[in-house]
Amino acid sequence: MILTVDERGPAARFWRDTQLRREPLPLGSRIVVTPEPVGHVAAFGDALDAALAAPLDREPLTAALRADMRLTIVCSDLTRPCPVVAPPDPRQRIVEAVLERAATAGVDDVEIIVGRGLHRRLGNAELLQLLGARVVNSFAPIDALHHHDAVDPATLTETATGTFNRRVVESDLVVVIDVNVGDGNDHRVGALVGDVTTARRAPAALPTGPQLFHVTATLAPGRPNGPFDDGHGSNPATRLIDMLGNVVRPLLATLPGGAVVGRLAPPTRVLGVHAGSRDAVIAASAATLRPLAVMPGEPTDVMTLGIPHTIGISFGGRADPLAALAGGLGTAFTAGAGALVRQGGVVIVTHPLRPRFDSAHHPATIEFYEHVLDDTGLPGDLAAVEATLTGDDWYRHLYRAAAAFHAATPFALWEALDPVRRHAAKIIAVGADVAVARRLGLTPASTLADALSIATDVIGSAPSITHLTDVTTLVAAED
Amino acid sequence: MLELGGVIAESLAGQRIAVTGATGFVGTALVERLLRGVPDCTLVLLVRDGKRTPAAQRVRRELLRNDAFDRLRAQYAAGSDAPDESGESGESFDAMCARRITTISGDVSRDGLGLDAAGREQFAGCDIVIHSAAAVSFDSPLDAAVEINLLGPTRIADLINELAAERGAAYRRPHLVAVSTCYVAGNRRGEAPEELVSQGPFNLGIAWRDEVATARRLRGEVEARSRLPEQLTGFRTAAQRELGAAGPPALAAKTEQLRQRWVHQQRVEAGRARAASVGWPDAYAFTKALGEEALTEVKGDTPVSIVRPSIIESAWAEPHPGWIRGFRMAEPVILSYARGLLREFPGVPEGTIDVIPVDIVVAAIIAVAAAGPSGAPDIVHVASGGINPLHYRTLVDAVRNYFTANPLYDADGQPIVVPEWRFPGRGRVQAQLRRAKSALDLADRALLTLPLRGRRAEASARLEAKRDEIERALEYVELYGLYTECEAIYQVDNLLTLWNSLDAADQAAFNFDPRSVDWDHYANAIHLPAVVHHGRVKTTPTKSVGDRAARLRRQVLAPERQLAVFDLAHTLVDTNVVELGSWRAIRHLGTADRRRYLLRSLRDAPRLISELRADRADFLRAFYRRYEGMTEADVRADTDELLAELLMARAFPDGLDRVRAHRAAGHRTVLITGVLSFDAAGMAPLFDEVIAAEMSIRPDGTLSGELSSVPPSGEARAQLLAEYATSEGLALAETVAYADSTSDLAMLEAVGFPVAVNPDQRLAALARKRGWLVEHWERPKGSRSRLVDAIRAVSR
Repeated sequence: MILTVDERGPAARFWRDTQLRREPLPLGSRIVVTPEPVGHVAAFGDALDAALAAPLDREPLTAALRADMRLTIVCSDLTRPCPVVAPPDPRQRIVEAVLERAATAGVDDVEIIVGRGLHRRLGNAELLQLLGARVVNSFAPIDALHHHDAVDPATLTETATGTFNRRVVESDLVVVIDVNVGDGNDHRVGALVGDVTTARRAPAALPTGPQLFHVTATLAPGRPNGPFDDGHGSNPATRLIDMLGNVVRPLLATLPGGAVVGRLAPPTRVLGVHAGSRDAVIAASAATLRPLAVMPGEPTDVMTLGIPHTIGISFGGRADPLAALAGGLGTAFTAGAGALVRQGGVVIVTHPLRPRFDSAHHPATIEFYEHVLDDTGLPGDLAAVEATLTGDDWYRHLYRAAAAFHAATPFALWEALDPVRRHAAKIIAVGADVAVARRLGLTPASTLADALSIATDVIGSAPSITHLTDVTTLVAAED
Repeated sequence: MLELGGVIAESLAGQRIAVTGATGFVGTALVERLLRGVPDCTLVLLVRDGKRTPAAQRVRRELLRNDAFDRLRAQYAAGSDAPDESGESGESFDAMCARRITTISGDVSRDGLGLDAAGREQFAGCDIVIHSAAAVSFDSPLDAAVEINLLGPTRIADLINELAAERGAAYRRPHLVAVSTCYVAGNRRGEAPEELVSQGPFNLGIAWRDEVATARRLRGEVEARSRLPEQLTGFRTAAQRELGAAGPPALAAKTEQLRQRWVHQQRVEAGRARAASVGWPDAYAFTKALGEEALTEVKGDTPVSIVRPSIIESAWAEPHPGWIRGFRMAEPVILSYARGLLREFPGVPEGTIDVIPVDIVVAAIIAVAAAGPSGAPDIVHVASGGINPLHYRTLVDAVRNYFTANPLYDADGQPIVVPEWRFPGRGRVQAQLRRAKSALDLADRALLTLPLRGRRAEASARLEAKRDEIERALEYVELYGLYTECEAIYQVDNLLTLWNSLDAADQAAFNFDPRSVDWDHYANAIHLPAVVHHGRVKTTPTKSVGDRAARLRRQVLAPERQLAVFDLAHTLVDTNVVELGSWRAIRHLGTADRRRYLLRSLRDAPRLISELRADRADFLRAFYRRYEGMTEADVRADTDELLAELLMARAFPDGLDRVRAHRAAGHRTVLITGVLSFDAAGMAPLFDEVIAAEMSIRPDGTLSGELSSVPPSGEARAQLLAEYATSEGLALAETVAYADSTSDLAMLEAVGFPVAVNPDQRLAALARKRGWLVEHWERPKGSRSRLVDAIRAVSR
């Protein structure tokens, strides 16, 4: 939904970390808000049963299960761009449904793998949040619940299409469970890739051999204040909720990740659940989301975007500046936001970009920020630096044993911003730490008005402006 | 009466002059002046052997290398072909010194001056003995002051008497010129004539031999008293308070140090009290006064002259204006004022402060020596108060104006504004300072009980530094306050008679006329610049702290370092043994049991803390009992999660970065920690080697709760490190050690490059004093607080 600013409003709502603020935009500016979905799945259990009973391009799951088979369930991890999900997580319900059917079929050899790719391991509490106590307590003690490890040769194997998780390759049936919010991420098979380069550059690669059975729940993209939100915030109740949110969110942000926030979150609205072959599930899930995509219209000179605090990669921790930028701006571009601003235009983001890092989750980002992105600019041979960092024993150890993202992560995040850099002539950060903004290659500005005046050399004095309220809003392709 | 038999240089030509105290302030100026101004005399310097340096080496190092000799050295270097004064062409400075100076090893505080036969022979050949050795410090212990100041001159006289008795008529007694002080006159107002105190109206008739006997006994008594059990307990408690759980050897060393310091203070106090009781400002003046009496009594037929200077300060003209050696009385006071530490100093504004430049004193001594032993022992005052007084107000104004125009700078590069001087009474200043000191004492003690670290601990260390400064200021006021209030006027009749007997050439060459000093010029252009230069204080507005840290940081990472050792808890991660243990303990408990565990821990906390403060190793042993019964398999299985949830979440990224930097620089990196080996296991890949506490495992696979060896903490850590370095062929001098607490003191002291990381208060104070690199490593900003973690741990 695209609104146009006139004398009566509306005011544009800008995320700035935990704060949601209103900023006046010039008359005629456009504000993009995620449309409210028309309908959603009321009874998730029934919809899931139906999907498993009549999968797309596949025989029903019960028919595929044999007692003597080797079954592996791959579940995506929690650190993905995703609205806050109230328990139980749809993935937990899918896993339980698959396990029930497997039990009925008498399958003994079942393993669950958290397909984390280069992401961090989940802590015990997070596993409980993702899969529920019943699953975790029955599988963890018998050593049948694992995190995928992209650097451990012992758990990997070569196939014609690349190196993959050995258990996956050697399974008869692999059930791949994921959620989709239309952020452009693939359906997590790439999370099982065994070599880092492939995992990073071609995550859609598929292992050959096992039969793949995908189950994906499609979720409604989030809104700042859930169902109470009218999208553009002109409703007095929304204003009040925004204000309360500004007080409560910073407090919640200091608490451990999704655990508490999840309990307070409104029930997740599932728009659809699909099972079957990978391609068919992707297509069906995308079709479910299509009504929510906004039509971009004529691209404007400027796109403005507020970056919120809840972005997948910083789940359960603090967003460092690079994660915030890549998770915000990078995700928005993946969701199609590039169509809103003309090539050579200006992108303006609001975020404090404080130099705060997460020592447990993103140790390599600290080194990347301090030593790779130093003030002399990027080294010419970034790939060589990446090879050094990813080959570092300490970072490999932290990825494998502790809760660290793989050392390739900061490079991936940096690359995620490449489309934005190629598209926009200038990226301006409003209200950001000046030194951090400069180091990340952004132009710092103190207010939105300052940002617009800084941008005049690129876009003139009366630019057209589009404001994108949520980073996950889907923008339809132009055709 | 003194009469000069000719020009000074001529009358001293060919004379052999013995000098004591040559390495002192007056002695240095005297030797230089004799070498330069009296080309044909030779010198016998009686110098004490140093602890490691023999007397002759001390003369070369401590005397001849002093900048006083620059002028003379330059003369020899410049005119090496035909030096106008040495008389022998082509002679170098060193050759001249070798030819004219004989050093004999001796000590005026020992009978017979501690001379061997050769030294005695040298001494016997002297025509003049100038005795300038003294314990000049106003706070010398009484017994030391008695040995040197009181008995020193008599020992010289005794030796001369002995030589005369041995050698009969063949021996000609030398002329003994003894340097004393005007202040032997004691606390009095009005005129003080050039006569022995015992000849004046204030003679108390003190028997100097009794004073000697009691002072010697005092020392033994104080030593005995310091060893009484209750005293020793007190010292031990104080050592513990200062060092914390630094381990038995460090505590023992500190205790002994405190005992010795106490003994010293008692001896100093005894001197001050005794002197005050009989009317002298301090033990120095008191023992000097008795020394004069004793010398007069025992000198026999030896001709004696006593030269009494007042407060000797930097040179007026010779060897160069402003020359000074060592820190005298006024300098620390002046610098403390300029640094803004001493806001007030007592004194009477219209009072006289009797200062005399050192070159005038030296010239007077030489003139007295040149005048020769004619008649009764003469006493000569070298003082300015009677004829060219420097008023206290003049001095204070000069100091204030000087430092207003040329301020010193603080560590931040800001000029220090000197306070207005209000001439308060001594009592008021002392009361003020004492109040400030006791307030700071209280604050300091209160802070020490708090578990402060890092920057906050450094603030506490600064408080301690401030307290030390006030303590010192108080000492200055107590020691020197009397001198600014002294209203005695020292008569200089004998000095002027001597002066008037000189011809113009001698007056030009050996100026000792106090009237020639222009105080205004002296203060502003000579003395204060000299004090500032000598004090090595900051006179430019630069920030020095950052530069220093950066330089030290470069040093620790230099490629020639070999080994870098890191403590774990609080140095690399913000957690501790208790937290790690508790994490393990409640890991598999239900919510109710977790609460119970927490309550029990809270109940035990005071006991744990007191154990921790007493001794690290005992504490660790006691705490690790809690691991008893856990299975090894469980413990190992939780290691990864422990690494993720506790160690890495609490890590200091700068610290880990430093470990990696050391590895990158090719240094061996070692983690040395009192944490159990399986708790520290997650951190192992960061290091080349891990030395941790090892717990024994029972055959059934459960932990025993007992350590299999001494935990690597406290002094054991230093020992383990030394063993490791030796076995690996690495040098401790090229080792960098990172630690956070005084319990690591032994290790930090053992290595060449100690680094205090987020130091606790005691270590912060030590690091500050010793100039160690201090690092403030923090968890990333915005990290979860420990309170939230704790709540989460119990509620989950």
